[in-house]
Amino acid sequence: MAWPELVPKELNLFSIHELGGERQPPKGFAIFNKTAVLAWRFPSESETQQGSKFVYGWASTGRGQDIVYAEWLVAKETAPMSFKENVRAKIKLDRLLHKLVSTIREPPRENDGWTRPSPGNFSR
Amino acid sequence: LDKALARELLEMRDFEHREVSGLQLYVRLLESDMMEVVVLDNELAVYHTSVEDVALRRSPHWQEMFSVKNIRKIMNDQDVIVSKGKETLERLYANALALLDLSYTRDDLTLLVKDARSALERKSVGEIQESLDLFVELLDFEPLHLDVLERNVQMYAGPKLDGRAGSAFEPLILFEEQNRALGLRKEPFSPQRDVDLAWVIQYCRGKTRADLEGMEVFEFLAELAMKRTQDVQA
Repeated sequence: MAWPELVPKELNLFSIHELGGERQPPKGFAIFNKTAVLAWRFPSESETQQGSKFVYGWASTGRGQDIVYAEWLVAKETAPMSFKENVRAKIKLDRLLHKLVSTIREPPRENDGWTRPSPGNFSR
Repeated sequence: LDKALARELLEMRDFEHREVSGLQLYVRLLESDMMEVVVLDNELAVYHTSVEDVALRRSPHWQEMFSVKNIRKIMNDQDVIVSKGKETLERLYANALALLDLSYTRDDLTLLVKDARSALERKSVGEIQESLDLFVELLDFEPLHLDVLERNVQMYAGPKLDGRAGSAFEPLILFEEQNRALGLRKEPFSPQRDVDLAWVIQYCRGKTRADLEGMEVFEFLAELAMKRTQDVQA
């Protein structure tokens, strides 16, 4: 995959740590936001099998010592759902609808200016 | 409206969450500048318009109230509203359902049976229950509740034989959590027939056996699911 395909619509920086020596070396780099150099690697096979949706990256402000670690979600990496997951999702969907329908209250009907009589009010 | 549940439902669809003018909006692109916007509040309204338009109509700034055009929009949203309340729930459900692929092959069923076997071998109640839930969903079985039972036995019944109220179901699955006992009765079963109720009571007391037990139940259900999909294709 080329870099432009990988650029997520929104960089979701939800964890930033100083880059430790134990991290794997990056597999590429690109200029991000004109100021930072972003390096990344793809998830390993074992990470993908564990359901990892993250591509790991390291961003540098260019001053060398300010190397940070970032991770973001790349929707393209999401594997299609298996049959079992599809059925699970259907079960979840059914349960959600059932619970929600029982909790929602319908808005009152608009007043049409006529009060319906109850059956008891009628006499033969 | 239970907003946490509604949020879960919205997240099963390709909506993006945005907070605009204090409104909790779930937004997805329909075409060019037309958005589908769900306002997460008690009304659960769906609009087909821009996010800005929804913000104006539902949470206007006082400066925006000086325009007659804006006042008209605020007073009447019929030109952009698509659904509200239960209708929205049904709409979201149908949309989320359309994203799911529930077609299957024998290989898919073989995997389910394999998982069920492993669950039974491990005697894991949670995993057996999940396997059961998957087949119950696939085969449109219904949970059945009988007051006559002394122990906590879950029952699921196959579709009614002639589709009429009060008629018999076939087959009947019985799962007793405490002993991880899973059974299936092939004969038609009617909760209105004393002899059938007596059979269930005898089964729960361990005095009679089901037609199929344990792994045989899942194998039977997989065959039933396969037959059903072949019938549909034919």
